[in-house]
Formats: sequence, C-alpha cells, structure tokens
Amino acid sequence: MNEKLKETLLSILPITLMVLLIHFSSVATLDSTLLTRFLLGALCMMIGFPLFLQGVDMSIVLMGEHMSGALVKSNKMSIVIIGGFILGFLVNAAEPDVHIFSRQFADLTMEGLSHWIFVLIMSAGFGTMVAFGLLRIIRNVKMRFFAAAVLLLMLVLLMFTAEEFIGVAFDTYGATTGAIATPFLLALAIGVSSKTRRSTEEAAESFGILGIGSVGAVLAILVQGILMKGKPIAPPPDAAAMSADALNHGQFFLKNLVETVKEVSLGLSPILISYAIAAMFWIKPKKRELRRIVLGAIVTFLGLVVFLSGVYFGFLEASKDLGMQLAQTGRMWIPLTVGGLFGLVTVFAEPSVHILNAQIEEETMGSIRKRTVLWTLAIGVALAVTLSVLRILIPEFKIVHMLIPTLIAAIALCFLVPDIFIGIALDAGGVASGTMAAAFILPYAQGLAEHTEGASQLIDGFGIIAFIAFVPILSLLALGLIYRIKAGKSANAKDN
Amino acid sequence: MDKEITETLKTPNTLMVGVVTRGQGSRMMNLLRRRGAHYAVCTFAEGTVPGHILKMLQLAKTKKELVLAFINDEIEDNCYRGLSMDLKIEQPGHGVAFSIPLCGNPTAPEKTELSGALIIVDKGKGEDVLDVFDDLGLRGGTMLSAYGGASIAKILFDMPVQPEKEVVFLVTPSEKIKEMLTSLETELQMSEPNQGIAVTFAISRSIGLFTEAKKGS
Repeated sequence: MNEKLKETLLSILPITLMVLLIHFSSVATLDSTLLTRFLLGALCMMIGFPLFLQGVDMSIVLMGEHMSGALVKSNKMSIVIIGGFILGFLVNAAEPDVHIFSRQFADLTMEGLSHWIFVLIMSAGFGTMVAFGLLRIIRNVKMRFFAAAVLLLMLVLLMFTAEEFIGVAFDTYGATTGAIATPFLLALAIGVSSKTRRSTEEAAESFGILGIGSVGAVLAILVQGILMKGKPIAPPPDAAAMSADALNHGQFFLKNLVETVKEVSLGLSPILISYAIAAMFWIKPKKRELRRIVLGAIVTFLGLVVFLSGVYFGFLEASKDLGMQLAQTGRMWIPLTVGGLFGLVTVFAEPSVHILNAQIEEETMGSIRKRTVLWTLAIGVALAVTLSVLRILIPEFKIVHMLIPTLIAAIALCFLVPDIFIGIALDAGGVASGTMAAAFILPYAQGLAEHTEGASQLIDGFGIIAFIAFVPILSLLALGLIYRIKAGKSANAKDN
Repeated sequence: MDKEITETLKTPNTLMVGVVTRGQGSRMMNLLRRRGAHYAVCTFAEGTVPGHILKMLQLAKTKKELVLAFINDEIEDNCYRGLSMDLKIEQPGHGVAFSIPLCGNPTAPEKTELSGALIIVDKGKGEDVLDVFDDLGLRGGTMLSAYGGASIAKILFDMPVQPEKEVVFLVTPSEKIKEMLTSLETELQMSEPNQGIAVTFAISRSIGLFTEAKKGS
C-alpha cells in the first residue's frame, strides 16, 4: 500500500508543482477559478490513479491473458488472425480519441462524409496490424524486420499523401491506444507469446503490438489521403472550444463527469462484451477469477472516471490559459522551456506509461528497470514538446521536416539495437501520446498558437501528438543502443 | 577483506533462499556476495498476505523477489547477521530467508523443525495450491512463473512449445508436511499423471518467518 501511495505522489505531484511554480513565479498567473479547478483536478487524479492501476492489474490484464489462451488453444492460425482482427478493431473503434480525430478527418472532406467511415477505416487498419502482430509473435519473425518494413511503408506513403492529411494522420498514432486498450492488448500479446514459447530467449518478443496496431491506423489514413489527393479540401473549422466560464464549478464538474462516464463505458464495453462471449464458450474461467475480473472492472471504471474527470476539470483550461499568457511574454525561450518541462512531467502522470513500464519490468525480470524507461520516455517527450512549440513559433518548420528524418533514423536503428527495444519503442510512442498529452500539452500548444502571429491554431496545433509519439521512439531506440554498447563492453571485458 | 576471500574459496554446501520486497533483491544479493556467497541469482515472485478481507477484495498478493544463493556453512552466521542488520529482515513485512543443507554439509541435522515444500503445477493452478495451504492454516506461500515439463508434449501451430507452469514455495513446521501432501493429493489429485509434482526438503535455519510470537511483537 505504501508503494502505491509513493508511486501516485511521484506521478501526479511533479505536474502539479510545475504549474504552481509557474503560477507563483508570476511569469503567468492563473485566476482563482482556474487555480481552484486545477487543484481539485489534481486531487481527483491522485485518487483515481492508484485505483485505476489496481483495477487494471486485477481485471483487464487477466482478461487479455485469458483471451490469448482462448486464441492459442484453438491451435489454428486462422482463428488467431480473425480473433486478433476483431479484438483490435473493437478496441480501436471504442477509443474516444479515435472519434475526435475521425471528426476532424470528416471535416477535411468537402463531401460531408460521416465520421464513422473514418472510424471504420482506422479500426480496420488497426485490427489488421494487430492480427499481423500476433502472427509475427507465433511465427517468431524478428521484430527488426517487421518494424523496419512497416516504418518504411509509412515513409513511402507519407511522400504521396495529401499534405493536409499528414499532421492528422500521424496524430492517430497517439490516438489509437488509450488507457484501457493499452493493458488489454499488451496482456493479449504477452499471453500469446508466452503460450507459444520454445526457448526462454523469446521473452523479448512480446512487445510492439500497440505500436504495430497504431501503425496500421496511420497507414489506413495515409492511403485515404492518397485517394483524396487533388480533391478540394475544406478549410478547417473553428475549434469548438468548451466555454467553461459560464458554468459554476459544480455544473462544470457534472458536465465533465457525464462525458467521462460515457467515454470510459464505451472504452470498457468491447473488452467486457467480447470477454463475456469468449468466457461462455471457450475460456471457462474459475469462480475466483471471475470474481476478480468483475471487481477489478468496477475499480478500473471508478478509477479512470475519477482520474479523467480530474484531468478535464482542472488541467485543460489551465494549460490553455498558461499557453496564451506565455505567448504574450514576447521572449521565445519562456514558452519553449515551459513546454519542454511540461512534456517531462506529463509523462509521469500518464497511467498508460505506468502500465507499459510495469509490464516491461515484469517480462524482463527486472533487467530493464521501470525508472530507466520512464526517464528515457520523459526526455523524449520533453524534446518533442519543445520541438512542437518551436514549430508554432517558426512557421517555416513543417511537420515533415521532423517526420522524415525520424522515420529514416528509426529504420536505421532497427538494425542496430536489441529486438526488445524496438517493440518497447513502438509501444512507448503510442502510450506517451495518451490522455495527458491530449488534455494538457495540446491545449497548451493551442493557447500558444492563438497568440502567436502567423500560426494558425488548427493547422499548427495538429501534429503535436505526432511529435510526442515519434520522438520518444527515437529516444528509446537510443536507449537500446546504449544497452547494446554496454553489454558489448562487459562481454569484451570477460573475454580478455 | 582477507578473511572474506578465504571464505569464498570453500565449497558451497548450503542453499540460501530469500523472499524480499520487490526492489530489495539486488541489495540482498550484493550483501550475500560481499559476505562470501558463491553465486546469487534473483527472480520475480508473488507473495501472499494473510487477511480475510484482503482476500475477498482480491488484494491478498504482493510483488516479491526470490533470491537463491550458494553459501558455505561457515559463513552462514555472518550472512544471517547481515540480513538482520542491513535489511531488518526480522521485522514483519520485510521478508524471509532460510537455508537448505546440500550434500556434504557437516552441520546438517538429521531431523529439522522446519521443512520446505516445492510444488510445480500447470499455470493457473498455483492459486489452487495456495488455497489448499490456506485451508490448512499454512501461511506465506510464494509463487513464481516457470516454463517446462517432463517432456515437450505440447505442439501448437506445428511447433513444440514449452508449457507454462507455476512454482509454489512454502516453509512450514515439519509435522505439518504430511498433512499438506495428503490435502494436495485429495484436492488436486497430484498422484495422477500430469497433475504436478511436490517435493519436500529440510530447512536447517530460518529468519523472518511468520510465527505467532512475531505477530504479537
């Protein structure tokens, strides 16, 4: 219990203190309404965070593992592929962020297409790649070949797609794997991997499924962009900013709460329903396990609702406000530094990051420590946010200027680092660009862009998630390189 | 330093096992190595926490690390002193350690007060084993995941695979061992083929085990 408290404080306090520090240093000050909301929001996060992690541990992980058992037990490749596709499709289609991005795509098209078409396209891409990812684990195809191939495909499609699509397409990499999908898919992949293991070396092969799935969604959208190239593209509409000022604290909180309850129920439902169906026919869980899953699902639900309400209630408006004020200081280094620091501290508060890191430590039996991955990721995101702030301030800096070198470097690194780091890097990219990035970094950047000359809020506000997703991939691959060099040195020392 | 080096040269005749909180494994290994252990390894394990309400809420589990080290009986005292001084292992919740005498241990007693049991079952059945212990009032089972089996019998997707297993460790008063094995037999049919194996061994010394006396302190 003590450990849980410590983990929670270490996760939520940095971001809270950082905002308070800026507030009291009077570079930018929050008014009393925003400050109260921010503090209450942080309190909600501290309550929700440990509950959610505990619930996930008890329930979502167990369901993912049982599902993997059902798939593997069938002993038929076709079942694994179909099952992987269906699960990937459903989990992705239930992701709230996917709907937000689909609406943006739908708005980009002149014909007034329904956003559901884009949800279908993205989910189909995601599901297909999840199926391929499971196939890869069973057939034991080396991660480096697989990853290099999909990254190369992404690079090629990027060259041909309509420019307006690029930012949003790569943003979907971060949007596809939310807080509930992350533990479920991780457990599914780890389960499949450990049930078809032939030697102990293969522990390294269980990661990467989240990243591979997200690549699928990006590829699907890029293809759509190629098909739509040349067609007229609608001007981006104004962002429908939530007007929070008119509501008092109670009303505003209630409104958020209703939204979050909807969001979390939608995210949990495909997993619960597909598990219920599988449990009736194939899994036959024990009574004890069922009790744990039901109890855990309730705890997960409560924890996530409280956590997310806190984030939306207190953090969204506060960070947007700070962004607007910092843009007006007129000195470029202030928004840049604050952006970098915000990037650093949001990673600590992202629940999915903790889930991924815990799984990494567990699967590698502690040879890759949680803290190492956390800090590498945090540095990557800090760099990413700094770069995206720079992009807002300097209009000539386009998103392709970051994406193309990053992709090329990532492909090259795939052949230099140990396989496990490639999977971890791909997963981590999607995980880092989760809820916290969308609810804290994005509004900060939008606030900045609103008060920066020459930066149109929507065109430049987009692509930030893409930065947060792709720069950490590089930082983790770099960590892999360091591990390899270190391991090489100690092996040499033994030889001599 | 000189003293420690000479001790290291003696052949190991005792296996020292420790179960400590997650994150403390490396500390324990280093401590034992400094005091002359030949070889120390560490793996992740899951421990149990006594408590009816916790069990009902499915919270009766903690993350642990299991340490195995080979030592010589002459440095045993020194090792235990270190564990109690540096890791405060006697305090509740800090962990346990015990010694299993190996071949050629001159101090190995004929009959010991404590015995250990090692039970290997298919994955998923480890908790059934822990439930059996619980019914008998035995506390402090530790579980870890493992792979393997008597033969590679399982073929999945046209490839032979290593089946997943769970290993349960338990230390208990020697007079309860028989009762425990009978219960495992009736509850889990362990004498049937492919239902798992259980082995027991003597424990010559221990520290930090849960006892009624410790509960009071």
